[in-house]
Amino acid sequence: MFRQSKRITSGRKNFDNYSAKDKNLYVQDGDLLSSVYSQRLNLYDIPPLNEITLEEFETWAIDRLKILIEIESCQLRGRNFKEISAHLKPILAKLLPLTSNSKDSSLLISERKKDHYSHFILRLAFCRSEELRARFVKAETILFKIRYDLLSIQEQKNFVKSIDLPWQFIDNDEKLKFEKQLYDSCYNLIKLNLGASNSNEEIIKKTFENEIFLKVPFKYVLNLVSSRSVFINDGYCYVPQFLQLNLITSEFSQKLDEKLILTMKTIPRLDEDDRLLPVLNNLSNGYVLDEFLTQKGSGSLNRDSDELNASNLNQVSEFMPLCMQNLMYGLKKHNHLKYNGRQQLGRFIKELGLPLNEALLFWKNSLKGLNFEKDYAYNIKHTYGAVGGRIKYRGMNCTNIMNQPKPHSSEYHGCFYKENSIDDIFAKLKMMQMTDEQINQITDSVREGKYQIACTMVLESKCGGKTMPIVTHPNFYFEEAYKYSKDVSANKES
Amino acid sequence: MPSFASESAPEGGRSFGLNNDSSSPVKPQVEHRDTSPPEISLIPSNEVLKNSREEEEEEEKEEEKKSGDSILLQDDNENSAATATADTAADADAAATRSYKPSSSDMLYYYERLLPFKSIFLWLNHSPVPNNDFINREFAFEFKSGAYQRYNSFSSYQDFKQQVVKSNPTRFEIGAIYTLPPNKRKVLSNSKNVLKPLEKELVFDIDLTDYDEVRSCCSKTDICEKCWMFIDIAIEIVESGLKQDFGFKHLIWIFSGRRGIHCWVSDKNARSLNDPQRRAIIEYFDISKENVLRKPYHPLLEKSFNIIYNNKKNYFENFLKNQNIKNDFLIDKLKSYNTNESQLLFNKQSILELSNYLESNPNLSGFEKLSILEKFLPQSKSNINNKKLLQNLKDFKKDLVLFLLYPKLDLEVSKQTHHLLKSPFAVHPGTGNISIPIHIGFNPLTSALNLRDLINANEGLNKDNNTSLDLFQKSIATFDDFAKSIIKDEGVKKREAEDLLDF
Repeated sequence: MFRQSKRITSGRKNFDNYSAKDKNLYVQDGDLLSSVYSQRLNLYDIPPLNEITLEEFETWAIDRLKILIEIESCQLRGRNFKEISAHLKPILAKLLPLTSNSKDSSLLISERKKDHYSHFILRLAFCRSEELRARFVKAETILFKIRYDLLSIQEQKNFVKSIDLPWQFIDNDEKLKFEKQLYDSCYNLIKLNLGASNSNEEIIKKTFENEIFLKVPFKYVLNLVSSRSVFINDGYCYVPQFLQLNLITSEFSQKLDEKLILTMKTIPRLDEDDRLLPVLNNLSNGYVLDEFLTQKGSGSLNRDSDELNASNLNQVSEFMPLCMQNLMYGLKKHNHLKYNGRQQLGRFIKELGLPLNEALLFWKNSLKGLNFEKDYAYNIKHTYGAVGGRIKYRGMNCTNIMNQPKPHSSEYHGCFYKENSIDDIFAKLKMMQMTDEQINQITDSVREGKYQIACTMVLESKCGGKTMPIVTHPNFYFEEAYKYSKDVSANKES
Repeated sequence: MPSFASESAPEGGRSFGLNNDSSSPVKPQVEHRDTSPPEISLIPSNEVLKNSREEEEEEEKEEEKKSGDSILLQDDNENSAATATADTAADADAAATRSYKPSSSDMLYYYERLLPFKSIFLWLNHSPVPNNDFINREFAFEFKSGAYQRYNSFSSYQDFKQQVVKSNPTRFEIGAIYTLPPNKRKVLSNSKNVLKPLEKELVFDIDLTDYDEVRSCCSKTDICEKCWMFIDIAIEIVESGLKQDFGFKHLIWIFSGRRGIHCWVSDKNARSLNDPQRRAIIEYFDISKENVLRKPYHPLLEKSFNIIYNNKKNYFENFLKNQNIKNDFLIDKLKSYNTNESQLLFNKQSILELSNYLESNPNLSGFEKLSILEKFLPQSKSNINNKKLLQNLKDFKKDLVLFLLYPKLDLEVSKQTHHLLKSPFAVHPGTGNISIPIHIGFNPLTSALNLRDLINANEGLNKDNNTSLDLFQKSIATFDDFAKSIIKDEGVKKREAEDLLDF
């Protein structure tokens, strides 16, 4: 897909450089349907080799990224597979449709091409760190499952046939030979699959009798081995057919993970390309800070540079998420914050756009009675990248904040919803004049461990009930709350 | 000083009582050698993967403080037959006299004249001609000082022998086959060529210390015939699982020298398993993290239950006869026994009553404890519920049989490719017992092969008979057969292999 040699200026056709092996993979557009794109679904074994324009490169990738972000946010909201699938169907149809084989061929090719290329572009963008890889694999796997579900039964069968996995169906003799072992080992799986309500011995037995089993070498289904949930004989796992999708998806995610690591290793050779890297960096950055950076245009950048300063920071603290409000409270109460708290709040303030001199002033005023210049100033300058390693730190996102060490009794850092008792949260929300109904919903989310959902609900109530994307960054919370209050006051004036 | 480094010498190393060189005054020379410290690099022994070894070490130190006879029985089981106690105690006495910490000179004697380096070489090399399987294999030496030297590797079995003799370690362990010869890792490795573990036998480590919560005859490093039954059960279950379920063919059980056994699975496809695959297999076997075993039993557990409960060896009956069900263990299992309906089989009240009863009747046998459980079931008014409870109790008893006697595996050893494990035919530094191949029916008290006896026999000092030498020869023959069967499977021509193996 990408040149590995330096740019050849006379035209952009660089295919002369491909080795003989690559040439075999290069397929004329017309032949695509019978080879790479013969199936609606793609396991992405073969990388695309044909040329696309830079614009296609960017827009296709962004379209796919939107879908993956949507999947992630559904997951964060704790939706189950059926709900995610229903939610994504219309979005998929709009951004990344895959129509069935019966339609006209040029449309099929362009759809499948977009799907194919966008997947590989995002691989390039998301292979860089372990966290990115894990999230990418997870979202892509769900996308794969949703699409598999959308196939007709005939298409599913064809697709399974087309993939090269070392499994085979066992015949009836073999099933009879191991009847007891097979029944015992998949009894609970069948029960689970049927649902607790409509499963009694008889139905299970009947389902078992109709079930077809696959024989798979054990190393392809390690999770089924370690959970002892299938019968194993002579190195083969006997897997009931209803688990086939699990087999395919686990193979899919495992392979994708391996390929991403390979991509990461080869990416330095791509670094000399001056056209693609900015696009790729943009893509992965948007994903790291989630929606915060992509929507940043509406936030701090629109603010006048002197709108926020050391003296009015306390006044805008009501727009801060509760984790930051809590830190401001602790700072006021003790005239001091411990290291983790200073880091969390300091980087948040920096991300707000407060310049270094204002930040120094703010901290100097807040840390009273302490030897500020000696003990703290260096640290703050360090955060701004003005001294030492000169790393310009970004604001912590919710994951960073939650992964900090647990705060002690005199510390205030961490996620407010995660680190405080339900009673404390209740009291705080009550103080914010929220209704009991709202508070109950929020504390329910906290009990289920969905802290970001809780935070989002608080933001939504602050913004007059407007539906918000999941909060994954405290600065996103602030910008939204701040913008809403400004809009409201502007409306009042007019 | 006798040197066995030359090409012709190695076979002379095994004299088997022929005493060709018994006239040469070995001991003084050996002791002289002993005073010169071995040239080694000290590697901190607190490496993660050596945890298990350290534990063992600590126990050995602890034991040093005790009197020399470490395997003396502490029989506190009041229900065991008096005759049995007398028998085993006598055996233990016999064993105790043989258990000793081998001196450096004894070790050197063993390395120079007896240890079958060639057998180990053939087993690890999978062919008669040295190749990467052997050359890139890591060996680790442990010394008397506690120093632990990793990343040794050898170019041939002569080299192997020469270096072991030169270093004279208290024991040596076998690690993985690496991408490079581990001893040349510093010279050869670069950005493209890094030292990475590629292959190793799939290994299992079963230790009687892990049975302390269920055995009442001994604890810690002590063992007796009664608790060796646990090992027999483990061999039977793990071997059948490895062979039938996973289809492995070449596996051998090695006595660790004191209180446990090692299993080495040498099939090609076992050696090439990666870490996640190893983990999946060991987790397949391990039930220690489960509170309630899923019903119906998975075929592996069904098979295991039948081995323990239903077969002719009467393992479970013997267990109840010779041991007891410890009260703490029983109560603990009852407390964590949540049935599918997410309710406790025994409620808090009934558990309390039961534990009070057990405490006030300390003389109950295991049989009795099992039969009184029913009386403490919480009573319910509905007949259906009572019936259900009885069924649950039956299930619990079945699970209890497995919780008591199902193999308790040391998981960490098996999970990682690069984990080291003591070599077959190495000597246990705490007991002087040699790690020989064993199988079901082995008696660690009477049929262990001790270095002292072996040396005495080889020197012709044994008045009665040469059982030690016979046993040693038989062990080597068993091991060679094992190595041969692997080589045959790896595709080396049969005749060629036998020519070379015929020694």
